[in-house]
Amino acid sequence: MIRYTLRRLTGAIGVLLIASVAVFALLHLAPGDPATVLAGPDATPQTVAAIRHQLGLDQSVPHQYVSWIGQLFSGHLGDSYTIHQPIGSLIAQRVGSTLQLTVAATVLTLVLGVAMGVALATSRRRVVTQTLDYLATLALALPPFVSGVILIFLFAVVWKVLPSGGYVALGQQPGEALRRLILPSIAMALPSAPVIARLLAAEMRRVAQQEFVLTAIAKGAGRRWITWRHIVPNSVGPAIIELGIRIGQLLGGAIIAEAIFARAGLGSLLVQAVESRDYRLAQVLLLLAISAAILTQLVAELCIAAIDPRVRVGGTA
Amino acid sequence: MTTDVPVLEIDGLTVDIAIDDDRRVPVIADVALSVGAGEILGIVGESGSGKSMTAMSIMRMLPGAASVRHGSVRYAGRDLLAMSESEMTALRGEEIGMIFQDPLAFLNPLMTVGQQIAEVLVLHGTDRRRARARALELLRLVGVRDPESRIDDYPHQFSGGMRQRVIIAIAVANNPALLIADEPTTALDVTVQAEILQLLTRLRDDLGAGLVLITHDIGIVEEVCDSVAVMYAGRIVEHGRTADVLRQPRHPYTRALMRSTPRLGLADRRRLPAIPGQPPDLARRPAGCAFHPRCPLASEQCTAEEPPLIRLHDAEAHRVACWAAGETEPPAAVEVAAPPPVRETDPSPILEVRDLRVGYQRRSLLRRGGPRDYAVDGVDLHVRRGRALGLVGESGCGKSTLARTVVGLLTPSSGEVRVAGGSWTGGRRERAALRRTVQMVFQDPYSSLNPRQTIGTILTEPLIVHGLHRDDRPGRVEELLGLVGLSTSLLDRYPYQLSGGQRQRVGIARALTLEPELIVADEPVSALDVSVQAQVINLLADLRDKLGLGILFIAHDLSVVRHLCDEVAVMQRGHIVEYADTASVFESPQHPYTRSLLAAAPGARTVKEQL
Amino acid sequence: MSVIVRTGETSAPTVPTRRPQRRYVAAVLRTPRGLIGLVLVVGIILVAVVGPWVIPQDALTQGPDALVGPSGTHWLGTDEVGRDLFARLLVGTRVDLVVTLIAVPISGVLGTLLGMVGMLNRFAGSFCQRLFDVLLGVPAVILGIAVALAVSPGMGSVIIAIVLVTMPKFGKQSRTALLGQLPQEYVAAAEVLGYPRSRIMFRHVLPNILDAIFVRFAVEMAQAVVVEGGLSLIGLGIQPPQPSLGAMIKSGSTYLFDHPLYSMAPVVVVVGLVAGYLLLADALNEANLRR
Repeated sequence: MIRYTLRRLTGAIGVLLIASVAVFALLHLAPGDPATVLAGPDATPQTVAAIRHQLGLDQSVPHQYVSWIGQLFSGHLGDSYTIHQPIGSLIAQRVGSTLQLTVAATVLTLVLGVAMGVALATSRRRVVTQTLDYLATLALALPPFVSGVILIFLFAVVWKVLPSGGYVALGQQPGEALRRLILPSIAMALPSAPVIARLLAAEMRRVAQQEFVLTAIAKGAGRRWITWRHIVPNSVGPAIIELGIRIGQLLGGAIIAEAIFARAGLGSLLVQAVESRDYRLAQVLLLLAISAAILTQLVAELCIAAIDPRVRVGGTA
Repeated sequence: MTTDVPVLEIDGLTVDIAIDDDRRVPVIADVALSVGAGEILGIVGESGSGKSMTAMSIMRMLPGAASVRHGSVRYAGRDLLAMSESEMTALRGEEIGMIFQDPLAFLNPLMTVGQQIAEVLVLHGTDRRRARARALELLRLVGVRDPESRIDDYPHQFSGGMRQRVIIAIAVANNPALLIADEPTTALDVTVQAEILQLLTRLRDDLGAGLVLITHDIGIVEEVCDSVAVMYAGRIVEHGRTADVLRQPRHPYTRALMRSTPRLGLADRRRLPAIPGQPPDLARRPAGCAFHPRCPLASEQCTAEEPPLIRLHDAEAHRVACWAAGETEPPAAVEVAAPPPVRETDPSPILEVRDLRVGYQRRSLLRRGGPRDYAVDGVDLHVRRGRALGLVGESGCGKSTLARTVVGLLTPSSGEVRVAGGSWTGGRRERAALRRTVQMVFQDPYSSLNPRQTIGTILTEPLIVHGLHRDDRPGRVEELLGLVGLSTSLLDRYPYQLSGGQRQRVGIARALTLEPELIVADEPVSALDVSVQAQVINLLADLRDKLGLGILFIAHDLSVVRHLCDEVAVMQRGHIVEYADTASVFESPQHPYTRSLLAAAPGARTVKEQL
Repeated sequence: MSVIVRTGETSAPTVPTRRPQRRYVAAVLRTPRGLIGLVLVVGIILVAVVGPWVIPQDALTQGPDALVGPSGTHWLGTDEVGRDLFARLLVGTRVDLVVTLIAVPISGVLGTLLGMVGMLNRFAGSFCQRLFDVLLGVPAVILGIAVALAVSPGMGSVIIAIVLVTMPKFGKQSRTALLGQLPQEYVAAAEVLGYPRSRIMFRHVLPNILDAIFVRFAVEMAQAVVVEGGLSLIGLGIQPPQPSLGAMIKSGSTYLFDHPLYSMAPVVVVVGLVAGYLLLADALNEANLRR
């Protein structure tokens, strides 16, 4: 298991490195000289030169990359060029909102996904499976930006039960904070939960056809025993991997949810940074998002290894 | 140990299955059997015979689409079919145990072996601690060495034979009175098979249980079964004590099955008697007696009426379902050993392999025993024109690697492979010429033909790639089909519409398209029914004689090579341990491994007694 | 026992059986899903293509009547600067279709081919897979934003973003399918018969993996619509004054109270397209399984 973890870890670090190079390169991909781009259209040549020197753009590109990475590691995130505040504190201000959203959406996806999945696979009544299946397809067709608007329309405009947006820190007013979380997290969970559910159900159906289920029946095991002790553990693999990917995608979804539900979080900060071409800020945020995504996928892979001995222990077969 | 009430008694069992939404076809009909305590009953048959369905019916584990039409299955007097599901669940694993065929798929990969054995104990009332202790005992009982450390290992860490022992441990854990074994040794090597059969008989003696043994191999029946039921197309066609049935088979199918099973006991004939045709498709069962299209004794009555299973007047327990039971077959039906065709006395070699070493490919071969550096480790052999060499060994010995190296799919690490003087290490032209000289016939009739191509395309494509003129192609394809005995009506069909035997013939025809001088056949009959195997082996023999082909015939079973090959090489762990002409290898084997292979082959005991 | 019902197919061959193409297409259309999916997708495409020629209004002309409800002249009403909503909807849909119908096929072809390149050159194969792994590790929206940062946002950046998001999916799928086919003996047979590698790749293996690729194609079209919509919604996709579905939804969300149609109309279009593609994918998948 240790060896497997190390291997996966080095793989993840590798991906992260490549991603960081790509993120770094974004500045240099833009047409024109980076310093001019950063300085803006109205800057004088002196300003441009000053910027060039200040940001170390007169050094060689690889050198810039290395020093940038070095700065990030030592915690010097730099200052946002357009907002004139340290990037670190900007992130700290906004991280709460994004974190709330992501965690809530993840929990919802997990709970809904597993419940629906098991129900789909084990229910005897065709009515139940058919309805669940249609619901799943419908939910899949509702990306967050669409479902968000529909939910706001139904719950905030027509029925007026829930607020249409905004953010409140959990520490200050937990009740209000939760109220404002409900709609956005449902919107975000909607397309992901059915994917997990269907994956789980499909895998459960496939596993149910496996021969070792016959062995269990021949042992005299009942239906429930077989489902929970044999089928489910063997079915969760692909669902866990998908969940890992989905949580990563949730970070992207959070950006959209923040736009629709008017929550000031890291996502809207990123959009703002891109619009104002604040490269420093955008790069740090992008790298943060990508790291989080890669981390969750790594954790998912390790979970699989913990469950499945074939992955972590070699064998003769 | 004898009791009056048989452990198992099946009467008039009929099961049908739904194919498509509205059609149901019978899978087994009017099956009647009984098994006493301490008795081993063998049920033998080919694909479609219904033997597995019968086993599943006993356990009430039929697939969802199948249902019992009528009949009874009595265990110690109680009708299993009439019970509630919970009563049946209580019996399964407790009083009736089942042993399955392919151990890797039949064990949960995520649970340790100990947990899986303990499970059957816990399900029927044992507490966990006792269950674990008993699991340890059971592992020892079934012959797993070092059980204390292996009990916490996972199924994929065991070899095939060991896994099968685990399955057996699970089946006997609660001391059942009835055991059902569905092809328990089919997926195993010959030597391991012998050990497992010994284990089963020992357990039968210790437990006094009745054992139903399902198999397609008559040799196994001969080896261990007290009584036997032969099934064909869902019905029992002959049933009685093994000694009676096998010594004096009354049903033409039983006789033909025995003759066409490649076995060691038969005198060396050049031609293996084959049953023409193939076992019928469930959905298209012939009227009357299902065997009549293939039967040399078929009469009008056979095509119209189903013969009942009736006792023979001279043997109490021996029953046959045949209108012609007892008639001897006309001489034409019995294949006379044809005199070997006149051949060149000392032909030159077409294939020469010298000191060949081939390393392991990444992510492929099984590694048996300890790790070794080479899959093929210093092998010399040769195949002469117009002669067949049989290469025999168990799984992991390297024979497939050798085969693939000979046809140029793998690169040797050292040593030489020369086909008609040319080598794969030569230039492009040399290699292209080699492609036309040596070709391969593959094992799996399902995956060796591209499912998206018609038979016509499959056979024409090599001609296109190698530049045969368009006008000449249809003629050549027709010629090839004729060589392998297939009709041109198959040209527009897809592989899925053909039977396994037909597919293998197409594979052989394809191999012949470029007029090779050497054919490498990698276990070409292992995946076929016994009655069809003989047809293909005979075909290869004919082609060898007619076209002067050299054949390298890979097999895992010595008996198969006896009828086709002039010389035999036995391979073990990458080395050739014995290499001589067929007669010598079979009559006076030198190497202990060869001897153990011969001894382990089912039916070998009878052979030795006869010798 | 619904889960534990066995179909008795434990010994089914690993290579699928085959039925002629015509029956395959018919099988797809026969299912309710396939039919609904096809109707939705084709219907929306037709309306979007033909629509702008049918109605007199123009998507860009601003007018005096802002935020008017549905009427005879403006079938869906107007937006906050008086532009006709229906016209904007049609043009926005068109743009979305153009973007997705350019980006996804390119990704499909590129991705599938690159996924199979391992057959010709093992090093190139692993290199591509690593590349795909990196791309797959990044959330779609983040990729889109990164591209928007590198090249200014617009139709081009959206297309590039979709290609970057989608190509790896095809690549991974095609490689997995390839690895499933390679051990099949017909591939070894082709090699022994002396067929060149390229022939084996294109004429033998590729046709056998196309089924799964088609399903993936339908799924990715749905995904592409979502990506374009999301990017346009946050302002980093199709840029104004070009109408886009995402931007309309965003602008309309402020007027949900009085003029819900502003947001809801594009919502319906998006849901229709995505659902349509997904239903088609389902139907294709079922048809594949039945082969």
